[in-house]
Amino acid sequence: MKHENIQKINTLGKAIRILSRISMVLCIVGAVSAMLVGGYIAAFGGDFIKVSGTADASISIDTDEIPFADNKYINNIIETMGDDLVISEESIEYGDIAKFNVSSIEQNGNIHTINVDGDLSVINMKKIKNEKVAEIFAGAIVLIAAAVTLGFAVRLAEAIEHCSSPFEIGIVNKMKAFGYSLIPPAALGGIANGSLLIMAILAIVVIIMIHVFSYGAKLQQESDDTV
Amino acid sequence: MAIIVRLDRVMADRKMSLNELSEKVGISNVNLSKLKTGKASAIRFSTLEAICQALECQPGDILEYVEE
Repeated sequence: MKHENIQKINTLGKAIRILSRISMVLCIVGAVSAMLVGGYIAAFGGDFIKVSGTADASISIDTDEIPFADNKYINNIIETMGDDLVISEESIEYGDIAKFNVSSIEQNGNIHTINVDGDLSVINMKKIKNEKVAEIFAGAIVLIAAAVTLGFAVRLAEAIEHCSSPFEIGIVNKMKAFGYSLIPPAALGGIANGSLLIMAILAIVVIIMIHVFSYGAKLQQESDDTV
Repeated sequence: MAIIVRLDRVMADRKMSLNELSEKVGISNVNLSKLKTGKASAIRFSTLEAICQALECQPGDILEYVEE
């Protein structure tokens, strides 16, 4: 008769095995799909979409609507703004899509009008395509790394599901394999999400837990060898 | 190992079989066999006490230190 806690560990192992297996299949399907889609997009011609045009805009500022404002000071700000307000390539995702410039600044009483000329140049579809293909392939690599990790998780869960003690050498070895396989997806995900420090802390915690269980397995073996 | 288990010698002196000792001591045949063949890495005081009681001997009769 197994101890109550061991029975719980076995049940949780079964649950993790099922969830990990489903997640692994989804990751593999996702990675294959991403590679197929990436390859398909990569086959597009560089100029399959062309967009061009112009856009004009005017920005009106009514200084009467700004309470306690010093008109002279506001006028100075608006005049200076004319020189600064250039919405240039950098503010737009695909650099050379559009460029906006201030063409003139008019003043009618308290109302200042800033006229902006927009020039929507040809979209650089090749650049967009290359970036998207790179993103899709990077996603596929992360999914493959996750699938490998989940494969190790399935092996660990299978061992936990049937164990009579969690401190068995076999389980600790599978735990080690799983723990170290966490590092690549954690590093990739951490770099992508900017949460590398959190991922590094989690990885260290997992490695510490592996060593704790490794020591536990040694104690268990000593206990088993004692008559 | 520097500690040698002389259980087989004491059992032979007392003409006691492994099964008989196992029943008297209350531990399994497998564990007694491990002890007898020197495969056990440690022995509990309770086990040693039960063996000494069953074989009417001292711990020193069962365990011997041999310098390596």
